[in-house]
Amino acid sequence: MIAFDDCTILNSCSIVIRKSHQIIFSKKELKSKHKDKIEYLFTQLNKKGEVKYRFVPSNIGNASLRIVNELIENTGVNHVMLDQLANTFKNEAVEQLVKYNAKVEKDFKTIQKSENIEEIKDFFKKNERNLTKQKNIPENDDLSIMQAYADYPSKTEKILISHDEHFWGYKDLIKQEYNLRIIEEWHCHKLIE
Amino acid sequence: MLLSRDEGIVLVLALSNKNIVSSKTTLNKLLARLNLHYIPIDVEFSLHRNGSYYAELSDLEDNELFKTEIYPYQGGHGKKFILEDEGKKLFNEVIKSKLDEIFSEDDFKALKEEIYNLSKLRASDISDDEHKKLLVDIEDRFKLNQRVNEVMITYSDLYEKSKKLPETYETLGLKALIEYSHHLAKYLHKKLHKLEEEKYDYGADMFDYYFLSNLYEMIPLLEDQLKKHVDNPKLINKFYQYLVNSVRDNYPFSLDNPDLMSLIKQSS
Repeated sequence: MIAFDDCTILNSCSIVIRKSHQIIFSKKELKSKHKDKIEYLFTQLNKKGEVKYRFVPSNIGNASLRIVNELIENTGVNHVMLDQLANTFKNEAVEQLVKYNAKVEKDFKTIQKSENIEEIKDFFKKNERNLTKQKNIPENDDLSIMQAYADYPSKTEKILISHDEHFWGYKDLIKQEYNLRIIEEWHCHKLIE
Repeated sequence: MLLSRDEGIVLVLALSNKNIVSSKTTLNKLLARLNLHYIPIDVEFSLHRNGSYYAELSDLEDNELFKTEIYPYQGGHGKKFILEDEGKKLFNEVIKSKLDEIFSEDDFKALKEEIYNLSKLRASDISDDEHKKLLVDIEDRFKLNQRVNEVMITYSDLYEKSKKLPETYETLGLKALIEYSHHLAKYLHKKLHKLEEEKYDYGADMFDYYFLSNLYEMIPLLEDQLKKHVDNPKLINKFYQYLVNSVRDNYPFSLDNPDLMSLIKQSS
């Protein structure tokens, strides 16, 4: 059983850069360096007829904004270079991701996020680690995903693919305590090999 | 969001009296009017020599969406445009849902009423009405200059205020809209201030005037949305879609112009 977090699903999309901004980015599209790997996994799972899962309710708008900011940061283009139409560029990009999500969401079965997260929150507080890119404790949304997935009945191994350090930064503990296998987004293609 | 030329024509015909528009000139003017309702359509508009609005419709022929009929008119003949069943289908199944992305029920009602009423008027009456709204005529040049000043200064102020909004999905559309409008206002200021007092702006790109008029009309609504930290995202989206999608590489201030960034620097 394989589930994806929203950011990974969005990272399978290429964002078209309009001509006004192509000069700044020196390219015509913006995409995650993991896009091909995620797409490869999607294709292989589809061929095998394996169901892909995601979690709801999702906040696809905020996830899209987060992805856009990450993609911009990864290009090395800074805010001074983007300054005059930075928000316009982001808005155009976010709009494309939201539309992309609307197109692909029917390809996924959904798991309802859990509202019961007090216990799992305590667990992470007691086992707090120093993360490199994120705040140490997973956000409530991450916790509601983990709790929901842990509670979801499955006869096969439960795998969650994410690029979020809140998951992979605790992968051994999550496996041990909740029996969820976390695969980093950039390793997702290896599931097929 | 963008309506193709045929979709724009179907929209106009669908909302016109008896689904008929009596001439190509009237069709031009009604299509142009969609701009004042913030509907982006893939049609170029320019200021005609006779002070009219001209959409490039010269190659317009009958198709499955609409047909033309010749009728006797003042000793000569006229050509009217009539919506076909396929056009009605396109309106109900495609155009209406595109409009739903940007329109509230009230917006649609206002559009419907206006196009219906204008479709019963003569082309010259529609033109006069639009001239007054857009301050195109020479006698309105002073008002045009006042408006372009006011728009530029107000958007500069709104832009500074919008920078204080936190960046979230909910606020991003408003921040982007104000940012884009601020630079567009400066561009229009630079361009329209060069107009000579007594010279008619023959051949002007009508988007200079549509944008200025719409930027002006948007001001109180954007001020309100800034105060409320955005409680009407559909309204913001309507304005935004219009400004960024109604022009392509045929208009200088466009996201499809590779030199837009240089243009913005020049306007600063």
